[in-house]
Amino acid sequence: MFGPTYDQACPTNSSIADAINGLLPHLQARDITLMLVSGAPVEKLTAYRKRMGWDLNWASSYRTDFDLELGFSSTTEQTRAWVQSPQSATLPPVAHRNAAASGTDLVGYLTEGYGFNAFALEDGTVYRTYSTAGRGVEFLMTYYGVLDRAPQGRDEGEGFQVWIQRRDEYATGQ
Amino acid sequence: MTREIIPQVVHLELHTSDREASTRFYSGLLQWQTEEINTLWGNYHALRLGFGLDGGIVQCRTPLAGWLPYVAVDQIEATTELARRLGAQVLLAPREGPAGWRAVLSTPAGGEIALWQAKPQSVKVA
Repeated sequence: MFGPTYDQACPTNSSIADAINGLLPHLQARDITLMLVSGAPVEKLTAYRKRMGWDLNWASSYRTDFDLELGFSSTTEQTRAWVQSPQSATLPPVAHRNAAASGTDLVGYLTEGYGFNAFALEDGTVYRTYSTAGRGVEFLMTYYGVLDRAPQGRDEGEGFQVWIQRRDEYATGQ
Repeated sequence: MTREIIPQVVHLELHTSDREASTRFYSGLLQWQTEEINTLWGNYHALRLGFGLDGGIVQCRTPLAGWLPYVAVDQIEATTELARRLGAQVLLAPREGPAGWRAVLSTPAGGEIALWQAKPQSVKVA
């Protein structure tokens, strides 16, 4: 979402945070909280959170192996190896767009993967009770649920997600 | 078409629905070394095969796992067109990635083969 080399959080992940921010009081009523974790230094996260007006807590995993341990991210060297392999030709246009929009290069952008985890604390032990990544996080992108019910559906094709901007960067100025 | 140098296989890719089991098998049988890479858009086990040949194990939803060899070519568009004239089906037309272009062909005799045109080394990948 906001890797160590980014200047700003990725537009797609920012749209997800917009979509889930309002859930917090309802989840807390059920003794569940929801928070973000990203690899950039905490000062960058705090400033960006203020700009976006989010209530969600946002922890920094800067210079820790938290993301690597969860299996969502890779080192710069590993990511470069993948980018140099033929598999990187599968990258959709939004990956290039989001790298540029986040103020980093492609390798820097791709080092921070994304995923959703549920953790439970019981008798002093933390359990990871659920984990998903890739298309599995789409349930957080609540705007797709609405778009899917519009006459044209999400209607994105190859250029999926490239229409997504940060909430304060749309030309119409929401 | 005449060529002074026969195009070489440079990369081998295994497409499988069970990356972990594949990695266990090949490391157990052939001592192939793999490195797990989890990026934003792809989970991959890089394979080090030596002798200028590398590869990867790609997790996907294929019901039938299979190996895909990549052959390095100089002009991927022309080679893809030649393949079409020779009766191949173009499963993936040449597509540009950050490191090069790739195309995937289904050959008239059965089986698939991929073409790979790497970008010049001087082109910055990142």
